[in-house]
Amino acid sequence: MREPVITVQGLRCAYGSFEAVRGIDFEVGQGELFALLGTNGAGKTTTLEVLEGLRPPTGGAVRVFGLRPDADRARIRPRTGVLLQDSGASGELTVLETLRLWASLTSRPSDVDEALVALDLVGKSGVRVNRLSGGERRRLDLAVATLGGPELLFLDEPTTGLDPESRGRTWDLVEKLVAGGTTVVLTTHYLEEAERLAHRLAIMHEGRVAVSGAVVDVLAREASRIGFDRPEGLIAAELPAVSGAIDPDEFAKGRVEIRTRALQDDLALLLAWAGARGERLTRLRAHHASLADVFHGVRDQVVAA
Amino acid sequence: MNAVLALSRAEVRQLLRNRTTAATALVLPLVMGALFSFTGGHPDWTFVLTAQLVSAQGLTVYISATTACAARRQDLSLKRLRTGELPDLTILLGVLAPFVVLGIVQCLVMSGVAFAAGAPAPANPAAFAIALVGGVAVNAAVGLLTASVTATPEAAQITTAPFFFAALGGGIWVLATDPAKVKEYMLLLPGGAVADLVRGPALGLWLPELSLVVWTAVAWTYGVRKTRWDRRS
Repeated sequence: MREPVITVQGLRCAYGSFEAVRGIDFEVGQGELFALLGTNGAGKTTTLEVLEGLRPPTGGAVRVFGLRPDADRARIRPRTGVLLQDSGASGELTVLETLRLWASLTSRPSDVDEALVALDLVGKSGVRVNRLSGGERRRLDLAVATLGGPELLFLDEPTTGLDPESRGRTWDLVEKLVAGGTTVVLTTHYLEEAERLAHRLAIMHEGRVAVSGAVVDVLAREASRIGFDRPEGLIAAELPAVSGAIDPDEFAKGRVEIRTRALQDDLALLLAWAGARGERLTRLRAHHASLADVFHGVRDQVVAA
Repeated sequence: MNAVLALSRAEVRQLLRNRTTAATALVLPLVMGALFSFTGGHPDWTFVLTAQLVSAQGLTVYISATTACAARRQDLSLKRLRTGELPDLTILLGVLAPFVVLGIVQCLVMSGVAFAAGAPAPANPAAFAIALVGGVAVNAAVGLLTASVTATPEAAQITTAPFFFAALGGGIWVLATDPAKVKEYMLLLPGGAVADLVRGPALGLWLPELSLVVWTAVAWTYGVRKTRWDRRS
């Protein structure tokens, strides 16, 4: 990993008697896109707010650019951009007024007109924020967060409420920022977003980090999947001897679901078997593990525990 | 300073675009001031001037500042601003500054109208100036403190009532008392101190002045310390 911009060691954060974050560790390297994932209430936003200096930790050590975010805000802020989960833009101001206000509060602002173009808000510059659609408002939030050309950008669910086209455009912008050397910490409920954008990730559950590492490594730990509808009258013993495990619950429900670490070999075996029997495998799906699989695995482990 | 001005400009825009807040901050005090000045007969000008100052300070500065702080917290503007480069104090000054300026301007306009309508010039102009500026400062500081216990802008109608009526009542109490019988404790309420200064300080300039300074300092210190930047959950 490159030189760490963020170091979190044993972070704890409590609201009264409720401990939202229960001792987590991770690092974020310079120029890296780090995704913080988790279920609702997992502690992602609280963690982010501690990193942003909006909330003091109740335990552990947090450093951003080697400084304490709650105590050294004045030195950290000019180098960071923040997109909150909720907008926080004043509804009575227009898009242009909002951007001009933020430009005047930022030490090295980029050009407001360029920001309007980059986020496709030119046609909305005279519209009051409270009359924007959810997606337009989110784009404005992103424009404000990136106006100061931050070295480190916090994005708390940046694409929530966006249509697929706007989401894609936002991803392109984030990728461009990362390519330009910006370090990004992202939380999202869209796992495909994290899978596409992130270099490394941590999946939080109930205030703890359940899984962390480089995205490719995390995905490699999880088995690939092959699935198809169980042909009428088929019993498990008739299936070829694949190396993966067949899920008995799914089989009983009428679906063959196989978790395997030899996707290509097992798939070839199954197709040959089906060909020999003259079976058509309906709703056949074969894919490497996705973050959704990893995510559900975390949840299932916790439920089982 | 530029940041405070930029924030203040934005705050004024929002104030003018919200009819309810604009009416409370801009129109209501002027209407009340006009009613006090033109009630017919021979008005008690000390009462008129005191009522004008206390109501303008209470409505334009205190209630409006409390409502604005609660509204900015409710729409998460305060939290958003805190993610930027500005120190906390600058953000708070930027939000409060327009109400302070507006309060001073309204007090000057209404006093000017009263003087034009026949009110005698203040016997002690320095005391009058302290009543005007000091009263505005107290109301801005207490507005910030009250906002910390005000969950929503709507709730400001309730949370501001005790201080507003205490200030008004304090003023009436002092004015209803013969200057020779004014006691120190009557000046403890900001309205009492303002009324005493407008009429001409009965116990010397320092006592009402001290009352206003202490109110401002204590309310500002606790207001800054207790400020909530995020919605109540």
